[in-house]
Parts: sequence; C-alpha cells; structure tokens
Amino acid sequence: MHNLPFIFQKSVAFLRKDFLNESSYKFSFVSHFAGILFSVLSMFFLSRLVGDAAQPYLSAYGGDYFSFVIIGVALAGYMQVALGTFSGSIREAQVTGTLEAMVATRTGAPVIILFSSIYSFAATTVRIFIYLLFGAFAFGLHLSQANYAGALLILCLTIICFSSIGILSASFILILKRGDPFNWIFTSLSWLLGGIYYPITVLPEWLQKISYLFPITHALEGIRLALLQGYPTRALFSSICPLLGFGLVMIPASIGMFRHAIRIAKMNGSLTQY
Amino acid sequence: MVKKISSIIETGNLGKKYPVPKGYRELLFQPFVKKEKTALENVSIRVQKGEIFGLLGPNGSGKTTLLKILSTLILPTSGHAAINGLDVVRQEKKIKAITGVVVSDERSFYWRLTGRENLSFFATLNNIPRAEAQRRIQEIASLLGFEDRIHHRFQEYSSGTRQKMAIARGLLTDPEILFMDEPTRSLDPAVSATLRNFIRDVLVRRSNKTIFLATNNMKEAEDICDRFAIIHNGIIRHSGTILEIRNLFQANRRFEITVAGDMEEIRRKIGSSLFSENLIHVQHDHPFGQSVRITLEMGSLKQDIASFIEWLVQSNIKVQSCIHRQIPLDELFMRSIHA
Repeated sequence: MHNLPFIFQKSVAFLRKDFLNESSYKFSFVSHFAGILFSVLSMFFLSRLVGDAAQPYLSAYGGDYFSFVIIGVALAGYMQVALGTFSGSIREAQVTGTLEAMVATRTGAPVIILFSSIYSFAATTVRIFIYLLFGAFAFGLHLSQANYAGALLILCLTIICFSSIGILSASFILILKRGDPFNWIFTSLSWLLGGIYYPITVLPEWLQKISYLFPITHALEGIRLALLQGYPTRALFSSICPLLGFGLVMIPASIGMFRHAIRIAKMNGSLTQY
Repeated sequence: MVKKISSIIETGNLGKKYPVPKGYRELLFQPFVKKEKTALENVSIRVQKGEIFGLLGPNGSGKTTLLKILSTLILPTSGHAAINGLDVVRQEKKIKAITGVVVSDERSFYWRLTGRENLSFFATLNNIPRAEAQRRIQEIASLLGFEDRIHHRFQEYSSGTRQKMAIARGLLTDPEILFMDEPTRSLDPAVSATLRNFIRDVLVRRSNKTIFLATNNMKEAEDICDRFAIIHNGIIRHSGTILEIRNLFQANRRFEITVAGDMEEIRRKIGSSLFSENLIHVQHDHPFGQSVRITLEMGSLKQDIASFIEWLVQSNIKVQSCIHRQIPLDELFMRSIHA
C-alpha cells in the first residue's frame, strides 16, 4: 500500500510539474483563458436569439436558456477533460519518452495515471469558475437559490464516472497507441443525447430512453436542478444514484483494465513506443 | 530458512520473444496466427556484488531487452531472473527499492523544466521526502559537476550534461545496483572518460555499488568492467574476465616483428612457409619507411615465436624488433560474435 504522505506529495508534484510545463508556453497559457470570454459571449447571443421560444421546454430549470446552456457547457468541459486527459497524458508521455521513466520509479501505474490528470482538472475548475463568474456578473446568470453542496456532490460523482471512461480510453492508447474507439463513441453520443445544448425532452421518446444510459444526462439534470432551482440534496437522488452506481462499477474495472494494459505493454516491450 | 544469495544478479535460461506487428493482409487472412521474434534465448548470467559487469553487443543484440527485464520494465517470456534473490516478475516493487536505472534516452526528461525541477519530480515518485530529495539532488549534481547548471532548463543542456542528468536520476535513491544503458553514448572522449572514472572510482570503489552496464563501446568495457558477457542475436556467446576471454581465443600470443627488406618478397616467403597460417598481415612500418612489420599469431603449441625468428634469420631476413601485442577487445568481440 502506498504511504499516505507520499500520495499527497506525489499529487502536488504532478500538479507542479504540469503547471510549470504548461505555463512555460506563455501565449498558449494566456490565450486559453482569453477564450473563455468569447465562449460566454457566443452563448449570450445565442440565448438572445432563442429568447422565450425555448421557455416551454425549460420550465423545469427556470426557463432561462442562457443559464441552462452555460451550465451545460461548463459540465461538458469537465466531461471533455475527464475523457481526454488520461489518454492524452499517456500519449504525451509515450511520445516524449517520460512514461517509461515514470514506470521505472516506485510509484504504481494507477497512481501515475490518476495524478497525470490533476492539472487538467484544476485548470478546468479555474476556467469554469471564471466562466460562471462572467455569466453571473455580466450576463445575468442567476444562482441566488443554488444548492452548492448538492451541485458539488454531483460534480464529484460526474468526474469519477467520466474518469473511469477516460482511464479505459488510456488503456486502449497504451496498447493501440492511436485510435481509441471507446472514447470517440462515448463523447459523440454524450454530446448528442446528454442535453448539453437542449433539454432531452426535445428528443424522440426512444432516444430519451437511450440518453439515460449516459452519465452526462443524469449529471446535467441534477446539477441544473441544484444550481438553478435550488433542489435539496435529497431531491437530487434520482441523479445521484445512477452516477454513484456507474462510478462504483466502472472505477475498479477501469483501473484493473489499465493495470492489465501496462502488463501487456511490458510484455510487448512497447512502453516507449508510440 | 534464509536462502543463501550467491550472486546479486542472476538469470537462468532467460528468454524473451516480442510479437511482430502484422500487416493488413495478415490481419485479414491470419488473424489468430502469432508471429514472434526472439530477442533473448537461454540467457544465463551471474553478477557478483560490487562488480562492474558489462553486457557487450552490437545494436539489436538484446542488451537493452536484458537490462529492461532486470529493471522490471519488460516481462520475460521464459526462464527466471532475480535481483538480490528477488524475482523480477513477482517482486517488482522490492526490486525497484534497491535498483536505479540510467537510460540514455534524452526524451525521458521534461525539456521545459529545469534540471532541479526534473530531479525533484522523479525523487518524489521514488518516495523520497522533499528535504531529503533537495539535499541529494545538490549532492549528486555536485558529485557529477553540474550544480552550476541545475537551475537551467533541460533543453539548454549539452549532451554531456543530459547524460549526467540521467545518471543523477538513477542515483537519487542511492541504489545498491545501477543498471546503465550505454551511459557514454554520443559523448565526446573527454566527457566519456570523466564519466567512466566516476562510475569506477566513485560508484563502485567508494560506494560499493554493483553496476550492470550495457554498451557497444569496447573501450568502455575494457576500461571499467571487471567481467563482461558478449551477446549477439539474443544469445550470450562468451562471458568472463577479459583475460578469460583472451585465453579462450588464445589471443595472448599475437606478435609484431619488425624486419628490414622488401615487403612483397617477405610476404611471399612467409606465404610459402610453415608459418603461412599464422600470418595476420605484412605492411610497412611507416608509410615512407624501409622497415616491414609482420603481424602473426602463434595459436599452436607446436609453434612458437622463437622458431619463427629462427626461420627469419635462416631466410636472411634481418630482424629489428619483436613485440608481444594484446589483441584489442573489439577484435575479440568480432571473433566472439562470429564464432
């Protein structure tokens, strides 16, 4: 078992290493945050176009399209990071050659893959915080009655669920190097069916049933109700339970799969190949 | 009962086969047929504590594969390998606690981070407390002579400093055993010599570490290795001390005899004599010189150098000097892999 103080020290080491690396690319680092403003502006003008026409579909969430979509896009940001960061960091470590050097240390493969994502999640959190801040102060996003604790719980469960898919995806990358089929299908269907830009009630009934198979649907439903309508945590159980179940099954499965992928890569001698 | 450990590194009939990537045609028509290539075959070696053991071989001979199996980065297909009595497949964590790996791949560092930031990161991954890590980084950088550049970015380093960084990373945990893959590759002769001295004098003589060094640099092996194995096509051809390998090829009986006379005539005379099989070459001692140098090996007990000198005198060839020469290791190496 890992020594607990080292676990904390290692998480900080990964965060620091990735921050130093990313911030050394100054233009990219700054422009990344500047992009937030353009994104919020686009959503604001889109919501003006949609106006009151969307209200009948959005009554469960307070009726305001801008508030609806900004939360959808913010959570989708986490989904994108969780699905992409694990495979992305493995791919980058293969290409830069640091993967083998990390595996050669006394840190286990699951810790390496989990901590490789810390910076991306931290950066996304900062980005989304600025995002919501812009929305609230400049464009009228109303969060006055929000249940932040409930929203935070759903957010954590959502990250765990998406991360499990992301780690599965990283396992594919470890062996196949490129072309991960799982991530592509999961991401595409989540954007289509999850209710990021529109409520799922606009979908045909049979597609709505399929959409509940994806964690993003439950996550968006729960987080919008918590933030926009202030639902108490108990009333959010219908969103929390599926996310919890998904995470409990998928996290051990994906970690096991990743360990197996490392073993295959060691068997094939392909840790440094890309 | 405590098992007696005779060797610190030991392999027995170790084998490694890699899967060969299939083409589209094979994937379509023979999807379940396994294609493999052999990287190591029945490799059995023993390394004693405190020695520098060299693994000599040409590119693609299986050196890196063996080194990576011993450092738990690759899994073997057959046979067994143990480090200090610990099995490389089942006791990976315990092995990592007593070994360090020096890979020459420059890519294995974060180029936009400084030397100190890189080493701090890898020290943390090796469970070294922060304060202890900083002390060790300073100490190792000073020992290797790059403490003045430790705050520079890795991308600004010369090849020599990058190599020193690789060694520094391997030494962070103060390991008993150090695996080094071509540690002086792409370095100039002066830096190579400094690093070789460091390995021999500081790491082994002073710190009593065991070094397992893979190289295709014969001079390096000859200079610092106590014993070595020659590997070719995944098979260990010969192993032992340099003296043992020389004896194996009866190689301590090479002579250079300088004589006066016409080179072509001397060559013809030796060619038609009893010593024709012993002749390596006849050439001018100097591009514009009058002397001729005859190089020959006396492999048979029936012949000795005295009888050859006697024959030269009887053939009216004036002998100027006779020197006993050691066969260079690279020549021994070529003989070993073609044996």
